[in-house]
Amino acid sequence: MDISKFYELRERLYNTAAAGCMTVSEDFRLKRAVEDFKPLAEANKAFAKLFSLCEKLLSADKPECVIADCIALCDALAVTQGAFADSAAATRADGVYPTVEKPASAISAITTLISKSDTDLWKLSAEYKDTLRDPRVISAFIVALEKGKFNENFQIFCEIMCEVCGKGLVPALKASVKDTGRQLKYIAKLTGDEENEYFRALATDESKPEKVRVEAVSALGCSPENGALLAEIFNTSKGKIKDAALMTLAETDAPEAEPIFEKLLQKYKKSYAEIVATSSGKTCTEFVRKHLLGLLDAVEHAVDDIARLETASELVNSAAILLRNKTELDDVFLELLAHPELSFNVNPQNSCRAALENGILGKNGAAVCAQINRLYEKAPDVFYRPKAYADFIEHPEKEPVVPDSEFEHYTLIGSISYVPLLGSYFFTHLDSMKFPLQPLFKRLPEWMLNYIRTRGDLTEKLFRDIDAPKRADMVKNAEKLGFKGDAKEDALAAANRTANNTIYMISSVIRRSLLPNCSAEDYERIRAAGTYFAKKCMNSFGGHGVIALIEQMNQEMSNAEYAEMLNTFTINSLKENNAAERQLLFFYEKHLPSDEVVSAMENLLARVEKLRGDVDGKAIDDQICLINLRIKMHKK
Amino acid sequence: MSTVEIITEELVRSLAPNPAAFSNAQKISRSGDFSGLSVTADKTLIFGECKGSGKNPYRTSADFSGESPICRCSCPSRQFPCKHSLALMLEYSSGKSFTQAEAPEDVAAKREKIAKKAEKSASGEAKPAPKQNKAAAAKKLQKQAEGLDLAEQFVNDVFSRGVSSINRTSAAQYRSLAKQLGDFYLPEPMAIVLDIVTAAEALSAEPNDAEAARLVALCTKLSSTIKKSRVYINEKLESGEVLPEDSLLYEAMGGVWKLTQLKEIGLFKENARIIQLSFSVLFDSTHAAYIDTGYWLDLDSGEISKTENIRPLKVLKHLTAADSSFGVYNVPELYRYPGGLNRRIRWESATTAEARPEDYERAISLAEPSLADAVKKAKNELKNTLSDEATAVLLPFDFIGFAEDGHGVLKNGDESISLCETAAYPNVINVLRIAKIPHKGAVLGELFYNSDERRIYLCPLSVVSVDGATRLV
Repeated sequence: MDISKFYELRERLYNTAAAGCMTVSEDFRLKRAVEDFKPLAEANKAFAKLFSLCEKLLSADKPECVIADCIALCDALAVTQGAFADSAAATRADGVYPTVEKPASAISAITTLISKSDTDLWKLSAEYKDTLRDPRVISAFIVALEKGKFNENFQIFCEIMCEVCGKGLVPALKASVKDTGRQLKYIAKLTGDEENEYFRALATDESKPEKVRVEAVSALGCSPENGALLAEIFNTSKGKIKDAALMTLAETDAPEAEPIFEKLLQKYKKSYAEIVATSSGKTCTEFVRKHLLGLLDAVEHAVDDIARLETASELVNSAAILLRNKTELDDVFLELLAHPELSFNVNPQNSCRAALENGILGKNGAAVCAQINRLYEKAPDVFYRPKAYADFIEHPEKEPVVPDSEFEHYTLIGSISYVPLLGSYFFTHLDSMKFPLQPLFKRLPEWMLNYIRTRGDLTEKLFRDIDAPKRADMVKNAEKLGFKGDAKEDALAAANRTANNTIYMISSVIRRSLLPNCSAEDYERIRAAGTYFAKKCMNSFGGHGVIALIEQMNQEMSNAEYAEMLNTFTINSLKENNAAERQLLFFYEKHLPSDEVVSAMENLLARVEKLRGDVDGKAIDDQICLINLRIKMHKK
Repeated sequence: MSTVEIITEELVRSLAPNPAAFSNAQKISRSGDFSGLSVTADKTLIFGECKGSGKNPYRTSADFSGESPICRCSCPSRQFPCKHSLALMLEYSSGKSFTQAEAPEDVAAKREKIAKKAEKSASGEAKPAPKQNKAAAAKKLQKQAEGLDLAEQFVNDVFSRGVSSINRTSAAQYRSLAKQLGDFYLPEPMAIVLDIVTAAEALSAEPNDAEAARLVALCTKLSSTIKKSRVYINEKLESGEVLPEDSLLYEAMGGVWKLTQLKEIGLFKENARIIQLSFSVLFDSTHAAYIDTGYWLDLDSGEISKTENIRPLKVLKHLTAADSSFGVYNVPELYRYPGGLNRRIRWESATTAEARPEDYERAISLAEPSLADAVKKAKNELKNTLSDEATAVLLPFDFIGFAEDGHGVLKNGDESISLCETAAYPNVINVLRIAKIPHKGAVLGELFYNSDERRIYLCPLSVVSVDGATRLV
């Protein structure tokens, strides 16, 4: 029986209720719907009851008192009429992930982090590995991948999910491809070239959204057989799809790319820079040689200082990008370095270093490292830093043995993060997010902790030897801490500055980089090394950064020990004539109860008084005044 | 009794009253604010001092000597457990060093008090249930009847002028009317009126057909509630049987059942064996509250019931959220609220046992014998305006799969039904696609009527096999 008139009547009743039934007697559409419904009412008792109610509605003095009954009956009848059988042909579900017996709160906590692309996503502890494989979590991940914030945190998390969940993710990833196509990168990561036909189909399907096609074109990099297709896409497409094809050709160094680059680079534009930087092919390599040496020549023959400065700036900026992935341009690197002073404050050294460092984790990482080694042989003063990075990436367990690169050690130490779910430390510096995560080590190498300890020894020695060192030793120590230049003339001031820098750098690295981003096993090792460093520093000078470090690491410190540490810190600040540090008396109140603040300050008063004669009298008087004021506040 | 050895990050997360408390606890733990971390020799208590915003550190502890962990802290927070107690447990679970020490005096004193109370309770000195006052009940019913007139006035007004007619001025008047319903002991109709007014006000600013239809349905439901409640009240007043009975209308008017009342009218079952098949946290916009909902299967009767832990937004911080339950619950006294196919249940105490394959086999055997019968029963429920918009059922299957257009299909022999997500469970079909599904078993799901498609669908919540329940939400 065709009951479409029933549904039409239902719709009309809803519309009438929504619009208001004050004038229902003039509602011709409703009247007609009721009329059209009559044949159904004559054939069915339940419909007859509805018809009767609707007639009552149309003639009621107060239709608002009747319409709810009509709608209620209508809804009830609609439910009874609802069909449920489904005869569609279907394929059996083939998911592979069993649910994990975890409470909903645990699942929900993870899915919430995922939906917010939260920082803590990749810091989840290893015990969440099973939870990540729960289909509810995977579903949330896939939804977020398609629609959510695709920031760095989330991208690291994508790598983690691929690692933890494996190839079983692929069907769900494929099923979720809709508007963004972000899934395709990870399908390629998981399957290599197994899904090549799938990528090819998507890349050439003009009915798909542009973003999806762009990602599909990028995914074509999975197979060297796609060179011809990529070239064809480049030649026949426009906009972002065309750009994606060119970039993929550059990334894969496909032979089909060469004639394209030859034509393109006849009229070079700055917008091509990334493409050229990505390619290690012959055409781009030769172009870079010619382009940079050409710019160098232009600098040398510039008509005036302004033109020289402009061209020199362009040269160094271009070099930083274009020299990336160019493992056969040692001559260009060295030629640039032969001209250290291109113009006022424009020096190509940093560009050369940047280009090398950004290639270490790229597609030609091993070749770039080899190139760095060659260049370092020729110019160690310039390439010590990329050498340190290259050594670190290649042999992270070994301390980079590069003279004058100790200053960079703390940069390396501060550039690693532990990802508990993968059970390894990763390098998080140098645009590493553009590349697949590269594990370094599972346990912090001992050399890093030794480095922290020796900084403490050196800092202590530097200050302890203030009164009776040999000047040469002071200079040597200052240089060891990384300071160069005028130290020979003012070693003491230089040592102060350098030691301060070292203290703040090392404290910062420990507090902000190492401790929050280490494995549970390494936490105690770092704490021990950090405590050693801090105490060595506090023996001589310190700085409030060290106090914060000691507080963070030494929960067992008694109030008496804490008070003694602060007093030593204040005394040393006075001796070093550090006005800012010696006024940081609020540290006492942060940690000590009032009565102990008073006794610590009274103790401090006595020690400050004893410094008269050794330290500037005004500073002593100022300090005594500050301390007395504090004591007075607390005694109130 | 257990020991602190059971503390894991997951346990701490499950004890946290909300995710923000857990996140704050993690921050405290990472910042190294604890001192004096100690553990008793029998490993039932950990305690320590935590730096707070005040001058003096907070003394916090976690006591595992009882049936469930007791967290204590000297901080002024009313949240329970507080972030300091949670952080203390995180300190322990992360392997930080705890010194062995005796329990602090105050903790020892509290333990003694609890032990004495337990002794007293065990000796059978239970409080007698309070008697219900008939006169008060009758007076309340009369007041409710008056209030229903007000509510009816609102509904008729809305239907007369239209749902889009409510502007700021009329909304203010209606809100005032709604508040009066509270004085007439009609909190549930009050909540519905306020929901309608707020939504209608928004609708007049931004017209939306689907929302207008939802409001019409809500007004219809309210109208039905009023009419049925009026009949209910009149019958009770005439007969003199004024105390609450097994009727949905008591709660529909806003009544709150006490367990003793339920017991008095025989709405309880002794020695029930139940197993939870799904759990989810849903937001109820009408009541501005989170509702922690669990669906449970009675392994004896096959009845599917639900637990609901209601947490209004206004007091969210002070209420503990419920969580998933695993295993078979043996409940000495299971209280059952008035209702239809899926009654709400509650209990005061239960023991749990690990669910065995036999329990899941039993669960599967309790599935509805045919899809057609199950749908028929569901339709009888769904067509009642006072019922929920979905009804939970356990359906057998020998095939679950996906059609070419991506929608899910469940089959059992010659019968079949479409699987569909709902606004409350938007990802359930995705999860079904990813999950490892057995070739046969039973599905717990909600049958609902989709008025756009004019069909009955099943929203799957859990797939049961002899190996266990695969939860989809």
